[in-house]
Amino acid sequence: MVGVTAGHTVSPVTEVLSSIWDRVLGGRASRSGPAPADADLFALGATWHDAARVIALVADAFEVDIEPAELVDAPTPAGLARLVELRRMEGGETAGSAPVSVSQEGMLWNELLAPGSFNLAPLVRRHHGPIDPALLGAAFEALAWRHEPLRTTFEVRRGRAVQIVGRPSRSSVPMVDLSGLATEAAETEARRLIADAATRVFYLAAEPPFAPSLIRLGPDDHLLVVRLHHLVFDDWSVDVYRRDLSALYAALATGGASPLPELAVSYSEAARLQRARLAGPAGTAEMSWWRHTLDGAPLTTQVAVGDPGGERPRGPSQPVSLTLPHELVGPLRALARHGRATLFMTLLAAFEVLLHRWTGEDDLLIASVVANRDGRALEGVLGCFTKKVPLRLRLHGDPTFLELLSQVRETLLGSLAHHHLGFETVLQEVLGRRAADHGLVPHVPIMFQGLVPSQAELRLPGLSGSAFGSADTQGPGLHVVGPERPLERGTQPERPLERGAGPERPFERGGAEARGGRPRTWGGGLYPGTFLGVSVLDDGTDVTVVVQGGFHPPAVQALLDDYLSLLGAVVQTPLRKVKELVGRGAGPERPERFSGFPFQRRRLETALAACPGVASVTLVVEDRPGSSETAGDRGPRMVAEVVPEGGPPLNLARLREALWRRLPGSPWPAEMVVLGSPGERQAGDGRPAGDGRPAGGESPAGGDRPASDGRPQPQGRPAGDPPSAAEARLAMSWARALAVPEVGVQANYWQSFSFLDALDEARRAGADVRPEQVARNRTIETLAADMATSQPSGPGKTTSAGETTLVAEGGALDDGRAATADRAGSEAPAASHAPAGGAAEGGGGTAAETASPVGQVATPAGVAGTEVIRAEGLAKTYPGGLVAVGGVDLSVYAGEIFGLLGPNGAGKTTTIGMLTTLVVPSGGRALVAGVDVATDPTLAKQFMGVVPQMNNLDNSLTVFENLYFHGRYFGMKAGRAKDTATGLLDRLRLAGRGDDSVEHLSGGMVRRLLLARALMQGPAIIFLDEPTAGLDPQSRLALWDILDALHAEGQTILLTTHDMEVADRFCDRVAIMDHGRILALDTPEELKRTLGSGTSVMVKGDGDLDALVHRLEALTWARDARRTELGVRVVLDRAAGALSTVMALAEETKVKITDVAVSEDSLETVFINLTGRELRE
Amino acid sequence: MSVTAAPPASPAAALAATARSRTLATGAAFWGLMLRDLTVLDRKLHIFLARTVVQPLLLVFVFANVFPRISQGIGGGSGASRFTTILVPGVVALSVIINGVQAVAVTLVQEISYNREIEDRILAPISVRMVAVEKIVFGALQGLFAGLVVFPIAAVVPATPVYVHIHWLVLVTMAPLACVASAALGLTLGTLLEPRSVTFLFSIVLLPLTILGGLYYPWSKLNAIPWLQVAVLANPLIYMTEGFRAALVTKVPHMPLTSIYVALSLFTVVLTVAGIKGFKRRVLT
Repeated sequence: MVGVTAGHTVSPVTEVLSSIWDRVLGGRASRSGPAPADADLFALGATWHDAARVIALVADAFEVDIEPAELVDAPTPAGLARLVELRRMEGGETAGSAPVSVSQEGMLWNELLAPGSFNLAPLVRRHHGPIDPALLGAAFEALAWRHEPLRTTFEVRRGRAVQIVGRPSRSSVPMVDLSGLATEAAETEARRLIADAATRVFYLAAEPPFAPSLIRLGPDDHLLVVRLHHLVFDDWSVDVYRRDLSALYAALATGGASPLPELAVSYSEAARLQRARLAGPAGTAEMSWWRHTLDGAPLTTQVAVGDPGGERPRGPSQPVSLTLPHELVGPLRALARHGRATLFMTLLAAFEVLLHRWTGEDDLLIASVVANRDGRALEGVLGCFTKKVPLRLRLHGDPTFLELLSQVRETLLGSLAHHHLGFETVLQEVLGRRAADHGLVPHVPIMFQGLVPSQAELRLPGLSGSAFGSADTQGPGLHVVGPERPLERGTQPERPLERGAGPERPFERGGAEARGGRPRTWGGGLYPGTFLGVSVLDDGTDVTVVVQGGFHPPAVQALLDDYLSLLGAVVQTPLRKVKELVGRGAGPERPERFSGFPFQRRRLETALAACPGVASVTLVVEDRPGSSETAGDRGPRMVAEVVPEGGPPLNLARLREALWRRLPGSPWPAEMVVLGSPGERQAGDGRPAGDGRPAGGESPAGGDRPASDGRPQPQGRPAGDPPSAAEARLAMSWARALAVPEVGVQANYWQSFSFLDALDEARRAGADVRPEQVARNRTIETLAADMATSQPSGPGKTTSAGETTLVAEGGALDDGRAATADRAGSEAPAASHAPAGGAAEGGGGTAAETASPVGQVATPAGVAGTEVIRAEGLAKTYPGGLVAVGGVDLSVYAGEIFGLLGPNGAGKTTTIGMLTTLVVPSGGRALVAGVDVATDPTLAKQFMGVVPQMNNLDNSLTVFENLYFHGRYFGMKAGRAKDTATGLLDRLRLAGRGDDSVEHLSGGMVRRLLLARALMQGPAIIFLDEPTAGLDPQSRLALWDILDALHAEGQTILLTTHDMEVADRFCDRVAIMDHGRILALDTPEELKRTLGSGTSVMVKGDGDLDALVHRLEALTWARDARRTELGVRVVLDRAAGALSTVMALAEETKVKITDVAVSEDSLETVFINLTGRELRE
Repeated sequence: MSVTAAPPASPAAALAATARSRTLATGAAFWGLMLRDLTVLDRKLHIFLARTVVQPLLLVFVFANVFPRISQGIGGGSGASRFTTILVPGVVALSVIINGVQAVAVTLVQEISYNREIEDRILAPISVRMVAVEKIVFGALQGLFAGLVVFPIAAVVPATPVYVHIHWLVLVTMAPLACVASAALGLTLGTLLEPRSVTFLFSIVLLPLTILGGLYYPWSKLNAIPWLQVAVLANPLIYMTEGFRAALVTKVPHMPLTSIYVALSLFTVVLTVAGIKGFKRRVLT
């Protein structure tokens, strides 16, 4: 075929490979046409699953096997083409292989990435008596003849893992003779050997992963040690092994024939049958069941046990086991019977409660194991059949434990009934796409399995067996061990599947590094990662729970202790609500949630910082508004900002892989931005950073990433710049609130619920924070700047005259501006690289610049800045504990229309009730016109007019009298009351109805009369609770006309509404409330700007669209500009001038526009963004 | 309340300075409320009159006119005249209590239920307590009026003479005390009752109150049934009837005046406090 490509011509092989890249990456490789020959698969965001697909497709196309490691080394079409052609010249061999079983497949892929991760603890048995190694060898040979897996090797051929069933080795069992040592020394040495055997990696391509050996401790004292791998062995197999080996050894010793009946089916046949079944409609049906079941499931569940600093213990912890006390087991069994469930289900349900408690999550994804030996034919077959199945444990409603038990039973039975598809296949197919949008891999690190202890015993005639220390597996079931010591570079085979592994292989360079020089815990899914395995052993009387994981044993012990106490609670009060049982979380470190993927920021940062060539790292989660379910340009995204050490440029693909190795199974940044050491930046992948975009940004998830859209400005903080006192205080208190050791001042905590809690914390710590400041700042850094800016107007400082206050605020504002400008100046090198985002970010500069400072509302001269209402921490808890309002701070200034927005039950009406003295606050205080409403209601009431939501007119009086007497209540003389009432009737279009009974008024009239009544005494402020609710459009318009006119006259109005359009149109400022708190407070424009999705302009046209995009990107107020399939889409911060600017730029770049569409942000978007979509009742 | 006053300490304080003093505001609002109640009363004057006149008229007519003439029932002969003398002060007390309670309780139940029209008055610049006090005062006035109505009836209707001998000092102190106690009872009942259970007011509360209120017999005669004599002491009406007897007639035994004043004052204070408390509980959350 064509030789190695030379020069710039593209070989046909490269072309085919390019199309494979395209197919796998689905358009991520390039916007149009096939992927370029130098498109780096991993830089473009391929996951290992994608890599596996590439390998399979290459195998199909060229009949050539590529190994994952080779793909890592040559991740471009051009690079791989050379390898493919070499391989084709070598010629392939494919004979004698069978596909691996579903159970084995996931393990094999795992083995590629983390060799030895599925090694099982060796089977060890001490035998006293004369042992014959040759006879034993023959018995093992016979056993291997009988059981295929014991003579099977594994290879990757044409991108698929295959098993090759060979002939058993015909040799006696190798023996290590330690009889020369003293007994004690010999035993110690034997233990060391066994431990070593446990972690030794199998050469899967060369040897069956089942290796018996003997250790001679003394004459007639031997240890039979069987090294084995999970690929060929499972719990069930232990019994088969012991029974068959005993029988065969006995038969051979006596010269008799094998007493064992022929097996009905061999392992490879069973594997084939399983695969064939899945290829049919059964597989499709099962997949659709899983799709339904796992819809919206979290991508992983992680329990934060131990591991505080990102350094994991070396290797997995020793299993911690706990035998449940008898006084607990009996009631548990009874409870299980009562709930028509098994003991295992009961323990699982309790474990679910434990997980809820430790993770704080209501929706959990864990795994369990199914024996998968359906049919008697498989009973006597030795081999690995066990499969993992996903279990999605959700806390529906508010069940009691017994109800939860029945839910768990259904979940477990459902999952077990659909176990045939591989665990990895299910996860990848169902959750993979969603995960891939964020560059993540679904990962299930928690397993809960039930085991039946082995019944059979290994009896070799003439020998008496006994246990050897704790390594004996005559007792509890198998457990998996990983290598306990680091794989040292070059001393260990790195690729167990490699045929004839050796350093002479091409593309070996870098392999050792790529395989990792660090210990590896055993993996839980397709990808290795930290793991928590819980096994329940029930031998009918005793129940033992064994926990193992890559965690600190004390943490595991704590988990177990909690589990035990929980079981106790469950047994005593099975009818208790689960939520009570869950109680307050006990987890030491609560992970942050990112796209359904919890992660521990600090751990991730530490791991990334430990990667070669990295000086420091900052992680930022961008919470771009929008659903996380939609791919690409919306939803949150994690970005790592990496400052490299000096030396060669960072290869981001390599860096990502290195991170992957350090923190397998963890989410990693969708994007990495390499920042230069101060003054200089370099492109991570060698590209010059000339275009002002975040250089070297790899964006696997959604193609081109816009220049830092709305992201806080974290890059440029000069290294070593110590946080200010305010920053430190906030960071400390929030870290405490979030139960994390540290919070970065640039971390974005906005919109996280705990942030609001943190606000309380900050207040408790003495920080003077207002919620609206929180609303417009997303990082501690900018918030601290904002606080510094508004300091002079802090609460309790209103003693100076209004004018002076305003001036002081203005002055402070200017200072703040100057300060932020200074800072921005010092950050110039970093900020300049993202011009499109720099000014648009919620950074200090912008926040101070555009946030409408208190008192700057449009007000009639003379009363500007007068605070008509001031609420400080105003709270209402009703008897019975219902928290209607949980601490509201707000100020309403003279002359403004202030809107209180929120869904039903948000606490709006209660807030108004407290401000109008009708509801007695349970905390905080409220001033109306400077008068405390709680302590001096008589005085305060003189300033307010209240229009309630309901008609509370005086039914015994006429329309006129309602106004007249209201005036009299407020101390008006008869004549004046009469005149005012008549005037208001006129003004509110009620003239002529004065003598009517109020019972005969229409809804609109009632509302107008209520308003008139509120206006009678000429109040400083009128409160309107849902003024337009239930009115017809005409009445609504009439009412708004009146309110408009009142506003024009300078009337101060506080209204509640959930009519967003109205709020947007009429309110000077709005506060969005939910769950009794103010989530955001600002002008509608500012809210839309900071919290909305922006004004987007979509341009269709002909010409140089890229040039247009380039020009749009340069706009300081553009958040995002990009090519789409249809044209160009740009998201702008403000609506004013958006269209004309875009048109002008189009003209400059000679783009002929055929169609333009503008969609503006509405307050409703903000509202929904803040309060969510869930229905309120 | 315009905000153009010269800025003193702070703008909010400037605003606050425009407010009338608490006393002034309370006084005005109190008067406003009274005016409002008077207007409403005036509008329903016929009902009010019917309520205050019909009941005493019928009572006095049947017991003091019809019965003696048909030689039926109570007393007879000089006994009949004696009975009428016993009866009239009782009817005065009954009118006071029934009208006092009804005037406050029935309207209050309506005002604090469904549409909470009371809010209108709660939002007036007056304390909630004073709104309740206004209710008591206005109810007491209605009770007083109802009591007065009995006198002309007693002068005209009975067939036998009524030996009236007015002790003015006792009357002018007893009448207001009885009226306020009745209105306070009305306030307490009004805040306890739901609109649905207003009918209980008559069947469960007022009727037993009346029957066991010493209307037709002096309390001292109950010494024949000692337990009843003690039990009726829980009834505020018993003190009113005894009090009015002390104030209006002679030759009829009555409780010691001190006991009457002490007990009635005690009832007034307790009911007023309970009524105001209940009122606050109902209108504020």
